[in-house]
Amino acid sequence: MNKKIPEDSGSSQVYITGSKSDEQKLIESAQNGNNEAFGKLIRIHQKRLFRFVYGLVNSFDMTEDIVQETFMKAFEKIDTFKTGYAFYPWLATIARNRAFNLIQREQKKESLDKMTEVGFDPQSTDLGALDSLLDDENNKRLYKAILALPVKYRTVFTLRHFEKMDYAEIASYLKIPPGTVDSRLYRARQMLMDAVKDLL
Amino acid sequence: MEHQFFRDRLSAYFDHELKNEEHAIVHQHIEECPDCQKELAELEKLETLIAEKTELAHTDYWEKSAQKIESAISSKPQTEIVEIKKTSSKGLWWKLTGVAASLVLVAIFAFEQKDSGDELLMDSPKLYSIQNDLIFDDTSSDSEPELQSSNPNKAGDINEKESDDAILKSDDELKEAVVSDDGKIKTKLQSPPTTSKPVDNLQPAPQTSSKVKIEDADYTVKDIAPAVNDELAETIVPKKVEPSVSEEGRKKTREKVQATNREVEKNLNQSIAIKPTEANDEVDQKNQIEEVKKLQKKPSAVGMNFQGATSTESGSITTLDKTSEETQLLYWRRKLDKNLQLLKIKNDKRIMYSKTPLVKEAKKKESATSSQIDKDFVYKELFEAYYNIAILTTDTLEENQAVQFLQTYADSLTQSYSSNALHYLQLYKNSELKQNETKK
Repeated sequence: MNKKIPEDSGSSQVYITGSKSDEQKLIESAQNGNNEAFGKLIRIHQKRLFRFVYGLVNSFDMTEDIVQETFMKAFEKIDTFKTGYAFYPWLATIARNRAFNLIQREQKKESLDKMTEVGFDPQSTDLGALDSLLDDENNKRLYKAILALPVKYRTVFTLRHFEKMDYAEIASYLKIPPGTVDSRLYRARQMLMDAVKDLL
Repeated sequence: MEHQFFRDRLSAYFDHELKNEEHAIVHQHIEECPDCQKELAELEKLETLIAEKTELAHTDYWEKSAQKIESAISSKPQTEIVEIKKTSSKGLWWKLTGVAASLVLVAIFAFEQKDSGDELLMDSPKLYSIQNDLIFDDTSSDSEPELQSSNPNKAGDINEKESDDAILKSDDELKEAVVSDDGKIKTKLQSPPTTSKPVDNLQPAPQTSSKVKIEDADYTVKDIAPAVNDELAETIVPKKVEPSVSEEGRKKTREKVQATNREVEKNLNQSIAIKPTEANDEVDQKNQIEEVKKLQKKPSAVGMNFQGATSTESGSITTLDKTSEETQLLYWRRKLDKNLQLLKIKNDKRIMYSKTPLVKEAKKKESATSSQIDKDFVYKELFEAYYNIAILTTDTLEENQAVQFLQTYADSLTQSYSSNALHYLQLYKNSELKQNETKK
């Protein structure tokens, strides 16, 4: 039985059992040197990855760079990827690390805690190039509201809603207590509800 | 419970992140509270909105983006990968260097301990000389290392401006010297490419071939000819220290020590094969009992749980008692040597000023307080050993040396461990008084 991975799975490691999925076949093909197969993997995952990274860094250009670097790194290390596991969580991990490294370099921050507390607060809610990637006005309004969140709320929100990580995973990743995750997420949701009340 | 308690937990309840009991309580409240129900409904709508409205549109951008990534991958030059490998190998090299440096340090300690430990025990003049070193200058780091340096700069006077490479190279050479001398330790060190000159060209102390085996069951590591002992004694004795004992006196005490060691060994062997003889002669029994009483009057060693014989079996009492006393003395001498070695290492400037990464890290971790505590403990052990040697030894010279050491530190008000020295000195004086009383 082919165990399909739910699209919104946030688990860092989802093992696929049963018959090989298309993705697994693509991965194995890419590992054997088939660049076209890797190209298909890019097209499958890049949108989701883009959304996630954008939620973290709040910069279109930076998001593009990180996504590109993530796929290049994944291509380099494709041989080390264990077949049988979901590909996206692996990509997301690489992207997360790249994002935080870049942020630290840009902001000259030393620790992740500092990054989540300060920095990358939106100077404006102008979507910029992202505007062209959003269908309608409601999309844009929601994104503007998300981008208007203070970074510490936005990070938790992104990890929870875009990556479907549970509180313990978020707490572990950001090195904050689970209670803090709860309170920040609660605040983020309150602010978003206030911003898009009429859309609810 | 206040309403705010439940309101604060709504978000976690929605995400199924509450513990079972808490979840049940909040669930029960929600069923009864319209406000919380309304808020929960809004959370669900928000969740749906986010799921629907944060999806990025299908545009040409994604295809272009994918193509851009593919071209970047295909155009990535191979040489970049090589550079990454070089970086990683460089990191590996520094790790290896750190490991090698730690091995060198371990080898130095082992070498020093092995060498001086044997000689200190076997040859009491060396013991006295190191005692003198401590008495006259307990912070002395000018004690000459066992390995002779051909460089005018002493090992203890390392210039702080030396590069790490120079020290590493000198450590490497030292290691090679140890390897060539011992032959047991073998490592493959690749010396780093450096243009700096070595600081020390250390060579092992000269040793001749062995002839006479030192008669001590525990010290059979080295066979050293008697003639070489003096040479080795000279390499260990610090230059500044003037020995207070003449050479003749040293020879005499050395012979005495060796004689007692032989006796100890004999007694140890005999004690295993002791057979209780029948006490047919009452006079013999009385004599033996008197001897036991005499021995029992002598104050027992502090800190030791040696049990003198209390058996009345004739033929075995005195031998066991004597053996235990001599064994005690041996024990305290060994303890003294060990602690002297520890003190030497702590005072060794080579280690203090070493710039190898491992030592740097270790020094960072070791706080000044812990270092002081260690030194205090060593001195406490030293004083205890000296005290016990003073009361057990029959050699007046050894006794005087021990008492002098205790006296020096007891009088010092600046050292934190002087109170320990005073304590043991007091104990010794009390034991002397007791002895004088029993004589009367």
